[in-house]
Amino acid sequence: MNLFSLPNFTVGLYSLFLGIFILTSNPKSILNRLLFIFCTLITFWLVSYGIVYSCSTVDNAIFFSKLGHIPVLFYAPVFYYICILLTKRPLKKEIKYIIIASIANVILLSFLFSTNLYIATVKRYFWGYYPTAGILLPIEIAITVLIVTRGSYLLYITYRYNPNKLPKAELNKLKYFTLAFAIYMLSCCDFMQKYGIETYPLGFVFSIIFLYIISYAILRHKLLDINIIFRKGLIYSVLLSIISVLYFALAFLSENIFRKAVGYSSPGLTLAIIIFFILIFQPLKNNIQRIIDKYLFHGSIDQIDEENIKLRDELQKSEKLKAVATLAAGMAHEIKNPLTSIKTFTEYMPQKGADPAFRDKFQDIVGTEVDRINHIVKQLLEFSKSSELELKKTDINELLDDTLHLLSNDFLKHNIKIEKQYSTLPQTNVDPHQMKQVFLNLFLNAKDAMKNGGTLTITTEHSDNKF
Amino acid sequence: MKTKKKLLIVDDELGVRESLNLILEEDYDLDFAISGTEAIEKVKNTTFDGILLDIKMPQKDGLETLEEIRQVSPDVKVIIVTGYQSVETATKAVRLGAIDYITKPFESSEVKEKVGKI
Repeated sequence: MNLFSLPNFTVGLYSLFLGIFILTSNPKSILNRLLFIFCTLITFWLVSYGIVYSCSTVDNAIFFSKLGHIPVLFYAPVFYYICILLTKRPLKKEIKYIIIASIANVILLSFLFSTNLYIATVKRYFWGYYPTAGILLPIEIAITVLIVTRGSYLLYITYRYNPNKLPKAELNKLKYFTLAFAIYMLSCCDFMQKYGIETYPLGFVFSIIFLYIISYAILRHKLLDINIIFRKGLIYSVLLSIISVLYFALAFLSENIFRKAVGYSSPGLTLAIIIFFILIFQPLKNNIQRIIDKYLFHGSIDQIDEENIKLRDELQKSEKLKAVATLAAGMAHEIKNPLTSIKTFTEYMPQKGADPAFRDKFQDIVGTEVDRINHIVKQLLEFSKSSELELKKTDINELLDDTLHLLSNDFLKHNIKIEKQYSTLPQTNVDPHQMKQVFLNLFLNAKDAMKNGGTLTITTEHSDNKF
Repeated sequence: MKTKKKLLIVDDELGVRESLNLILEEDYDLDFAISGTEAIEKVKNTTFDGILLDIKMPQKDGLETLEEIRQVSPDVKVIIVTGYQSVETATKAVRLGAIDYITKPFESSEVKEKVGKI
């Protein structure tokens, strides 16, 4: 195993893990799928070239050079598609560029393995074999430059002028991607060695910076809407990096020993055996990580748990406030009826106050309406406060009706008709206050789901000691 | 002596019926219904010059009642009375032939002015 291959393998594998993580976080998102493809292309390229450095024969080196060049052909179209998604350009207008570039690259691909017009041969440098350019390589470079330039231009004008009026969060996303891809483009410096310049190919450096920017943006700014909890701390990150490097070194060392013992010289088999050892040593890596978590970062898991509980409580409070706000709006309307009576009767008091019949009616009606307003306000206060569990025998159908009554104005406002299909239910031991809150939340959710109005059917039934 | 116009007041709330009675009893011959169903029965049996109709009532709401009243008595003038003002309800009511709209809590002068159109 050539140590100069190690950085390519390490970065290539990190790219693969990041790509898989991005894809599995949201497999339905086209952007996530494209990024997964992009990360896989990086892996393919870096690992293939890592194998090229380690090849012991010219034929093997040429084969893996050509193999490693396949992803290079497709970077530009994938990058351009990502730019279209980020800038919200209409796909129909832009797709032609992707199709043209893809067709051109497929044509070039047909020359890759069948001729030496693309990759002429390989040359031995201090780090191992490296391909030399054929006459078709500049054509591929030209196509790539054109597509990448157009994609970069789209990113630039969108960020600078925001013609499609993208929200701030989308512009922020665009900023990180633009920076990440701009740095990744610098990995094209690895073309220099194809023209005989003897400097160690540093494309993996720009690749890892690209991957770190994407990772950082995901972790810190919820890029791609991925929300994960991540362990903070520079010390933790350094320790994790050291473990990862040791882990991969252990895998390579094991492969080396195994190869000397068994005696094979196939690079493909080398890669397969490395992956095999990586998988074998995975439990050891996990255990070391667990030990570090336990003894150095034992607070972090507890902190995460505490935060989760706090967030859950806040969410519950916010949902309750939302329910109370809806109730308050409905009750404000409910109060209008008693206010109407109080207003009219007090208005006529100067005129009719001497009439005993009027005074009797005034006392009856105004008194009743004031009590009614008081009852409405009390109901709202009851809903807004927490209470201890208090079980009592209750008619569930009555509780449903009471709750529906509270929301009757809201349903009217949203054109929702209520259809009740109640069965006779036995008196049930429940906390009426808490059950009303449950029913209230259910009805509010139903109302939110019926934006265009409709009929809300409420059914109760009793069977086999449950309802 | 001038004959008083006959009005039907439809509202499930006693307080609102009494309030409208207080405002209109001197100038109009009033009848009352506490539900849409009762209102339709009364309209079938009596000729009214106008109806004051509440929107929010249990079982049959004001707009449903108005639709059925139109089939029985196409020419009767109807004024909608409601605590909830919405463009959609107002549009529906006008399409069904309501001539005006009173919101609760109402001013007695406003009620007299709008009922005066009947």
